[in-house]
Amino acid sequence: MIFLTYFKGILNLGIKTFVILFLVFVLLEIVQRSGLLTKGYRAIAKFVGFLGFNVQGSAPLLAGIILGIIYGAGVIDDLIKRESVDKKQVFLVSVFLSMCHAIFEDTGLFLVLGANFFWITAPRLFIAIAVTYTCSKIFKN
Amino acid sequence: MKFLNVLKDYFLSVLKRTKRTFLDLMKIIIPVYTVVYIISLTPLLKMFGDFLAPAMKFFGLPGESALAIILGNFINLYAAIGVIPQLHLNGQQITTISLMLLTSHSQILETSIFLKLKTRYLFLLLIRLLIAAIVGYIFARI
Repeated sequence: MIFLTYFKGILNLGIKTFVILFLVFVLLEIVQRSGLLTKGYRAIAKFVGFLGFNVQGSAPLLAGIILGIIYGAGVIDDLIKRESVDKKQVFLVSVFLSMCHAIFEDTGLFLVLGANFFWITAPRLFIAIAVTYTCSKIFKN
Repeated sequence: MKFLNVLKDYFLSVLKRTKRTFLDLMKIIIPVYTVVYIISLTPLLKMFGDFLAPAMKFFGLPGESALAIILGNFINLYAAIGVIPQLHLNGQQITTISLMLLTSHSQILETSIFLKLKTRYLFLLLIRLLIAAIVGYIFARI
């Protein structure tokens, strides 16, 4: 009896997680193959300018929001190796990504548990925007 | 034919990535789920929950859910996911704990990434914990 509830619990969690991850990667693969990450950052630079980001910061920002903090940091590292990057850009990207990253994968995992999609997505974006905006005003460099 | 090849390539790539992440996840979820399941059969989990109940009341969560918050912050989200299904939370509580964990998690790994970027990592660590506490407080009351 005890073992049955245990195995049912694991199996239920495992199957749901697999399905959600599959859907997440279907989306991610489309986003990556469409070249949105490598070209799209120039387009979003206009929209995130008010948060203090320039074109340079927009590339790791977009990569981090969609793929995760490790990818975002990787793009920053790459940039630093090739050109001089403003310290404030690194900080602002870190602030935003610390609050909100890997939106497909992390959100998907909590949907498996039964969290409300809207209430775990919209507030997170709002918080990330509000905190980044405040930091861009408070910190000078 | 070319289209079919692209589609096949796409599908295989998705499947490979799903499999890899799924296995990484299960390597954490299964041990955590198992240990929590075992201690839930003993009085230990309830003792732990009773001890932390006053603190977790602040977020409208049962004391035991502190385990998910602690593991989520010290290890990663996968560990928290191994705990949450066993806490018998209602819909609002699941959304609250999810938002708290999404704001602040994997602090050891992620803070070390910010440290490597030579940015204000302590500031980021503290503000994430603070904001997770604030959203938890607000979401328990709406």
